[in-house]
Amino acid sequence: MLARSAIVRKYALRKLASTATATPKLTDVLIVGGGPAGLTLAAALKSTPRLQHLKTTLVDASDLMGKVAPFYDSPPENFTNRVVSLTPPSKSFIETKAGARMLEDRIQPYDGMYVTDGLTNATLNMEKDSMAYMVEILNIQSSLLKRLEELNLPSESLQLMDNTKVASIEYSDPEDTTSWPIVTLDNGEVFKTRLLVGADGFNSPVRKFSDIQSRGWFYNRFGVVATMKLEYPPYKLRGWQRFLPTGPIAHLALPDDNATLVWSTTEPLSRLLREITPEQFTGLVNAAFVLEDSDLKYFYRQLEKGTISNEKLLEDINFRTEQVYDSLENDDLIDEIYPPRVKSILGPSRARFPLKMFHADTYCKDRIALVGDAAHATHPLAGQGLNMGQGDVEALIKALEKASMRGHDIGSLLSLQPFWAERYPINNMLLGMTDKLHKIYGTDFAPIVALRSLGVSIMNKVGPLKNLISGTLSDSGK
Amino acid sequence: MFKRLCQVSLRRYHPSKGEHLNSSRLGPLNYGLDSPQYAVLSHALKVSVPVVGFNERAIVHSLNQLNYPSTMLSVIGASNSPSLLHSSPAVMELVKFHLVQKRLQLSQDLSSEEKPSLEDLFIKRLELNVPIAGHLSQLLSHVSVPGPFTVDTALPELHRLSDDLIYYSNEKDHHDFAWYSKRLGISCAYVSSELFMAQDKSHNYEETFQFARDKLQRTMQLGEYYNNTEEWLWYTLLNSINLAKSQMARG
Repeated sequence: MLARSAIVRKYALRKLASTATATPKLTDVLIVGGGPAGLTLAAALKSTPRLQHLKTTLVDASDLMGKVAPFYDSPPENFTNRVVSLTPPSKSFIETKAGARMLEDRIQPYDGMYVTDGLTNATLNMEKDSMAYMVEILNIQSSLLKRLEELNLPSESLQLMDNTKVASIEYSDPEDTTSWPIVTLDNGEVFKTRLLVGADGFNSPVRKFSDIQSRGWFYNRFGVVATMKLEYPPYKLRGWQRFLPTGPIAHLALPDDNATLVWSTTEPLSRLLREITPEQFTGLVNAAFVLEDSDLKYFYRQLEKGTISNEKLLEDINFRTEQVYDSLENDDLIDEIYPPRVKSILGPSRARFPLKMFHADTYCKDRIALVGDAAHATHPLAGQGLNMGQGDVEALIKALEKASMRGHDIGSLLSLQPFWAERYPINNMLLGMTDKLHKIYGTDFAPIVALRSLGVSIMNKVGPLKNLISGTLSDSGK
Repeated sequence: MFKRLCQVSLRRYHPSKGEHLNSSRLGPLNYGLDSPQYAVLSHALKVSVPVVGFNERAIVHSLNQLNYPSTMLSVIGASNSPSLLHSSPAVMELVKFHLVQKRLQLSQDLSSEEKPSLEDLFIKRLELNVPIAGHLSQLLSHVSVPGPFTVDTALPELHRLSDDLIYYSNEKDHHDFAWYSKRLGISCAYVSSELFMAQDKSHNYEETFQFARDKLQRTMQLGEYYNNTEEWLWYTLLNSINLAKSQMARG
């Protein structure tokens, strides 16, 4: 009896000891983050013949299988509020290299941007067939998950771990930063990885571990997003953007009579926009594209004080809008220069997020690579954020392919540096362009307003210049 | 012998609170709260100055009210050297007392948990001027006559005020050159607000407070412009270095 209990105790002790120092599982690529960038990387790795053999692990904190994946087979009737502009190179990368097929009936290509100045109505009318595509982020994510599922890979080749967070990261040899990182997850599993990829967003734990500095600033502005129903399907399929002094408002087409809105604005105003009733919000969106800044300021003040009723506000907006319409030369111009009117917004689709600009000093270190928002964050006004992430993944795949072909260690700096060298200048240019646009349009200082309006008017007349800009926007600087 | 040694060792090398009486002096003033000077001058500021202004008559009036002999006038101004170009030493003392006492009053009843905003404190200091606002131009001319009084008392007191305004408010403080610029900016805003107040005829000095808020906001805005520019220049510099590095990497 005594002997038996001793054996039991010994067994229990041994078991305890073995879980405490669990031998780490080996993996070639560990991707932290299952957003569009992380999933594209996983799918592209598994679809590229030269990289297929790499043992890949993807860790994500959210419920990818339970909440994201079902979107593909049973998408909701209404459009979700997280919609991005996907440029043709990004779309073709997802489709050819990663091999995913997105739900085409939920993608809306658009043929240009109509950009106006909220103070002077100076206009830039860029036209380009299929300049970019409006896609729901869930559509991208779920199609990539579908692709990974269809590849039907054994768990030695690809392991997808959702609902799991990274608990800690450390080097297997603390003295040596070229040693393989050991990643401990909050479910107790431990991985030792040849290459650790941070696709884990702005507050990237991988970036923190790697000691790579990220520099930039918060704009002290917020983006308000919403999904809208239009009164009638649009006559022209293009994006509409108006630079108000508080920040740009953008109306972007989705299939049929749907559209999505990104309204960047000051902190108190963004709070107001979330608190007012859907009817008031709808009225303000319609007003923001047509009326003058002073009209809008008046409405904001009235709404803040709560001294205006729903009917009164809508009536007032309609009255002032009709006045503007009457001042036009002919009624055809209404459809030409203003976006289709919004009928309603989908109740719970309003959300807001802070806007910022950050850029990491480098994207790679020994055994570490950063892609997407972990490496850079940008203002949404040019619709480049997600596309920059896709560009990163494409360049990383290219670099890994080359390294693997030459027989390099894929985690070494030698293999990763070409990825950084290719992406840094492009991202730097796009970030700088967006930031400067924000700065130029963030002021109501008269000389700057006059100069920017003159500049835009000239640009609108000079075809090659305009094509250069729309080209840069539609291929994300490549 | 041994006992004496012990006693000696009880005295500390550094001065300590246990061995000294706390001075009852109030900052740059030479007297404390319970001194006759304090009693006379605070009475003068509260009662006499609003009626007759910043002059000897105000002090004499208070001396009479408090049953002091009027010859004390010469004692009150004793810490200031007589100046031919300035008013009497006693009046200078009254002005100095006004500046110091109002500044100290500002930090007296602050709650330790939540610090007020800089704007609130700034406005509060201006509000303390309201009882004597009618004689503010007189006061301002006293402090601005070029001479030892301005250099030794008025300007340092202005600096201490802006320093206190930042210290006691929830305003972020800096350890670089911005320390100076911020205080200078607030001092300028304060002086211009006082000058405005001296001429203000609006009800309850509403226009002064509006002016002060605008002025302060513009000063802070200027600081923000500077900070943003500096931030941007740093970012651009480091980014250019990174850009060069990335292109020199084994691409």
